[in-house]
Amino acid sequence: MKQLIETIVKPLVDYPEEVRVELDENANRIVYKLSVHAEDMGKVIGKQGRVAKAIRTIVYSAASSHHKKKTYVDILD
Amino acid sequence: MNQITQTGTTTEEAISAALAKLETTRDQVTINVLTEGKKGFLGFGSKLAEVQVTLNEAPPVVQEAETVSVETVETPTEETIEPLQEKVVLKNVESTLDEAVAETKAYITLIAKEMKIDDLTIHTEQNGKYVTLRLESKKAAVLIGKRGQTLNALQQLSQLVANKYANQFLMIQLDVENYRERRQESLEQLAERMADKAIRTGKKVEFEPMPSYERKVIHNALSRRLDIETVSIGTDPNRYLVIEPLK
Repeated sequence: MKQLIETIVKPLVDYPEEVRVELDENANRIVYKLSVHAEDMGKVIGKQGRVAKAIRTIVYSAASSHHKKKTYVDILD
Repeated sequence: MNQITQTGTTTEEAISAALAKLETTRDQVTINVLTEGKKGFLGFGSKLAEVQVTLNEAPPVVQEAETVSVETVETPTEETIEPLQEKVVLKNVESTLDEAVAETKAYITLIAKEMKIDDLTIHTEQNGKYVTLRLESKKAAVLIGKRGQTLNALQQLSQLVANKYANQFLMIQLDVENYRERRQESLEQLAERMADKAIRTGKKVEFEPMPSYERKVIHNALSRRLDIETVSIGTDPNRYLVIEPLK
């Protein structure tokens, strides 16, 4: 899953080497924390959060077939 | 980047062209065939082969080689270049566009792989700035998602990637197993039903939020009906369509 998020995000940004995905998991949910270079924030969020929404849609659909736990994607600044 | 995507009439040809571009030999690269070429019949149904060639470890000459060769095209030199090089140069004329499409394809293929879809094939159709990518897989349902959600998300991201590489604006449309066509039909039926409902009840009928081109399908489908009016209300991504009966 981490790999999926990186695959989606890296080609979209100007600093692919600064894309980081961290995992925060507890008993009933999994949170993937995505951080990118400050200048790339806008690129991964997009106008009206459009890109962020698209990323989440894909991750959630992949996640639901993976494991049963509720999955979230957070973008950290 | 030590990786290029190259098209050619056959896989073999694409690979050798890619090797020429990278100025390397076969034993120093990893070759990944994206699409197998098809001969077609009398020029119909023919498809270019597409390979992705990654340099295992070598200086990044790709960018340089490309800019140089594009320049060579612009200055119409009469001097004859080696036939092999000439071929590469010719391919580079349309390369930014082809490259953008190829990168987009590679992007989609990678994402699909992460979603455990390994049997994905992509056919490209291009009409001016409109590029249609037709995807095929046994697990099409995963790619489409609920009401095309996943497909629309993927389309949006692909568009971003394509325009990152292209120097001209491109509109990317993704389609899985004719989903768009089927969706259009069901939207048209829905439109008629909702319009009838508006007339029957004499009240406004609201749709759920939809992306712009789906609203457009409904507006179009109902444009010839004189007994109702269609308007879109709200702001994206929550913009929705309303049918008002006319008295």
